[in-house]
Amino acid sequence: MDLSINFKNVTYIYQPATPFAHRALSDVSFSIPEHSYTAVIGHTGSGKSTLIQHLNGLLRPTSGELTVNDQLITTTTTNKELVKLRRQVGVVFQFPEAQLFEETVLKDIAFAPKNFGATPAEAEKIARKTAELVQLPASVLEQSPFELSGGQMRRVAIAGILAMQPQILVLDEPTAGLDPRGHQEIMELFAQLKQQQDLTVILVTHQMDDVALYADQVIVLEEGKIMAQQTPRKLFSRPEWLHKHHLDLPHAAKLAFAIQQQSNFKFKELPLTEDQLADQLAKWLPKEGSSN
Amino acid sequence: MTSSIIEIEQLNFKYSQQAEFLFKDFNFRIENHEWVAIIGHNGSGKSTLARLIDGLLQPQSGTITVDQQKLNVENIWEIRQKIGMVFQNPENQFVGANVAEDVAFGLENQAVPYDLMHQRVRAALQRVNMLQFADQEPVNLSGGQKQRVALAGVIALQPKVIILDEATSMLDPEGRRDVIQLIHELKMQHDFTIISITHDIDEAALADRVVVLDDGKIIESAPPEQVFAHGKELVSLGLAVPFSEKIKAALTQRHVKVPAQYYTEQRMVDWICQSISKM
Amino acid sequence: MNKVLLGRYLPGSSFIHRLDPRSKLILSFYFIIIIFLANNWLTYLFMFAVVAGCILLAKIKLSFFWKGVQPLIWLILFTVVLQILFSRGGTVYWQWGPFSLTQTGIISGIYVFFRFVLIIFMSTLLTLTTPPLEIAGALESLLKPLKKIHFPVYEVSLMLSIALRFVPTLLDEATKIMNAQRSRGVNFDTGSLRQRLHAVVPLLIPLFVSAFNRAEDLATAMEARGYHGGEGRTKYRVNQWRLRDTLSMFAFLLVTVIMFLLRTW
Repeated sequence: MDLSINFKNVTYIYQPATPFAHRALSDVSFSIPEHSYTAVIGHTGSGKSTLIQHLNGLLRPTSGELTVNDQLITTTTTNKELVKLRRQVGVVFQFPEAQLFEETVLKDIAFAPKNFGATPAEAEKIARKTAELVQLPASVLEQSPFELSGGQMRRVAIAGILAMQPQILVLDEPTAGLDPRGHQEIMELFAQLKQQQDLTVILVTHQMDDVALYADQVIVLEEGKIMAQQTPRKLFSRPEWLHKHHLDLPHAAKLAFAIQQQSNFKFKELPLTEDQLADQLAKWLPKEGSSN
Repeated sequence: MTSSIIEIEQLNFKYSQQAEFLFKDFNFRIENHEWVAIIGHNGSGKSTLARLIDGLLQPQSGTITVDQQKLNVENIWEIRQKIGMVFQNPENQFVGANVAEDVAFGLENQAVPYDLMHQRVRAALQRVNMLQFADQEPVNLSGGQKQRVALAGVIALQPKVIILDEATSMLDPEGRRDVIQLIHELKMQHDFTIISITHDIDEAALADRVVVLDDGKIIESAPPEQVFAHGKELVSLGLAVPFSEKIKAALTQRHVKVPAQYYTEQRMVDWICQSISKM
Repeated sequence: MNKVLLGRYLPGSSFIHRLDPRSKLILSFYFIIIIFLANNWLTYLFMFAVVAGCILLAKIKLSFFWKGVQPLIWLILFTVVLQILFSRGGTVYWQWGPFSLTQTGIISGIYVFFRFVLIIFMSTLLTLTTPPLEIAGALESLLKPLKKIHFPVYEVSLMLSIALRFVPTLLDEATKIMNAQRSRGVNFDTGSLRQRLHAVVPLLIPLFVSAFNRAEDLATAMEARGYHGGEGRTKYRVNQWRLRDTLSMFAFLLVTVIMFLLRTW
């Protein structure tokens, strides 16, 4: 499998050589295969957002190096080289609606394609297509983005990133502040896009149910260091370890552990979602129409 | 009933830029010492309702009575003294230069004398476990800590009613758990009336009554276990359901006979364990 | 992460830190006035000694003070050059049209340089030892007499303190928006002046929108907490004038007397 992202001993220090120096990443090494869905978890201040900013060259490592889509980034890489990379890596930042500024929704979505060299006509075409992709009603395209509801603003902002047609999509808590329905719709949208366009997805999240549902590998960050990199199933099979690092279990796994503790029932494999849990339990529970 | 702390009668309200009324002939009551959770999708009118109660928005018609006083222009400041509010964004409600001064802000407005003010600020900070941060500036605090400071600002004013307007929605899971726990403790000790507007099912589960709001209408108003038993309806309203209800739905799909009433996660585990051993 | 080192407060408990912010504010201004009494080497030397004494009392490294001078160095040098070129008197070394290089010119150029450095050192001392909000509070308290002529002293100082309170928040916000727009292909760092001005629009509009939203939230929160104007409020922070403040005042009076004596030496 080809590697999409590869970090080699990356360290990043904010305000180095001042009394306020702060080491946000220390000696971080990991790799992410192409077309995978990777979840990054860790507490506020664990270095997640610093890590993300390396992925599209907003930050350069203080020491060490990384490769993203075959582009090498070191301490001395110039800004010019990084601009190419920004097109290939779409980053949806937390509360991305903060980036909206154009007069109309359509213009705002077309902003990135235009910056990366598309003609106005091409950019508009891409923008219309992307708006459809994120299920924005055609009626809002000529409206000001500032008149929309919170959920729709979020969609416009996400469309503004997707319009770059990136190969790697980085999502920093993309559903923060949305209501449960909005959360589910947006997460499903990303899962679909990944399928359709064969994207590499990196999701920063606090929601373990989403990790269980979507990710095929998890990276755990703590104080700028990588604590674990494995599949969700392996990670969530170690409740004591998670507890020690103040991390939650997905709901289904939590319930499964409780059932195992209270009865002699053994799960064949740790269920991570409600469907997996129900699948394994259904055989052993009384069916409708039975006398019991 | 005279024990109602908040009574809303025949309320009509719309935002000036909107054509449709959000609340039409709306009636609602909250009893003294009650903990009411208001849930509903974004735009259902939850936050608007909170702002109407505190007089931050003026209805086109109808009456709002708080603690036996009809809300009007003259007594609005008096009524606000009875209500403490914590808002969604921790950053945007931090007025003071540091923690202690922020807690003091409301007391300064009420012209509380110097000595009493210092005493109340200390007590409130102690209560929310933030006394050691008294001199810290907001930049150095996490979202959860800022919300605890906001709660300290509210309890320092000794209100009768506390309104939490999505106070935990911008926090990370640890911060959220922490703040919900604190609210629970405060309720136990001081017996405030609490109105919590929330998407968080764990927060709603602590309430005496859950009110489901949809487009300015009350769809349901009942104890949490009764509301949560309607998992399907909640999902169709765009709301979260407790995990035990999700499991029930998944099991029903697989033709398992599940209990009709709402079970907490622990009871669900008990039920599963019992049913398995019986098989 | 805010990268601004300038004008930052350094927490401490030195004599200077513990002075009432009002007396620090008064004395800083007073110092700027008496520095204009300096007219010869001896007076400047004495002023340097006074500033050095204050810095010693504050227990802060000298390097922090040089950092205060650095951003202004071109302005200072420009003024010094003007002073040198346009002053006349004493031996003339060089002359061309209205410009001349004279002995008096050189000396007064050096004096101007000293004056700048001394003033910057003293104001840096004020900001390093006093949190911005205490300065705002002190200003309010000193401006109180203006209430008589209906100057909204309280409102102005609350505005000032809230503005200061939100500086880090907005800096943080600006960084975030810049990152988001960079990711969408905006180039803030290179290009012609026109291109760069153009690049600022996607930063400024979101920043204004966010600032307005914050202001609205803040106004609602303040109203909910019972704020209805400055009338009839009590204050949580009350400045305490102590013996050390009075002593500092006398010390500066003494400095003034010595200055007058040294002027005519």
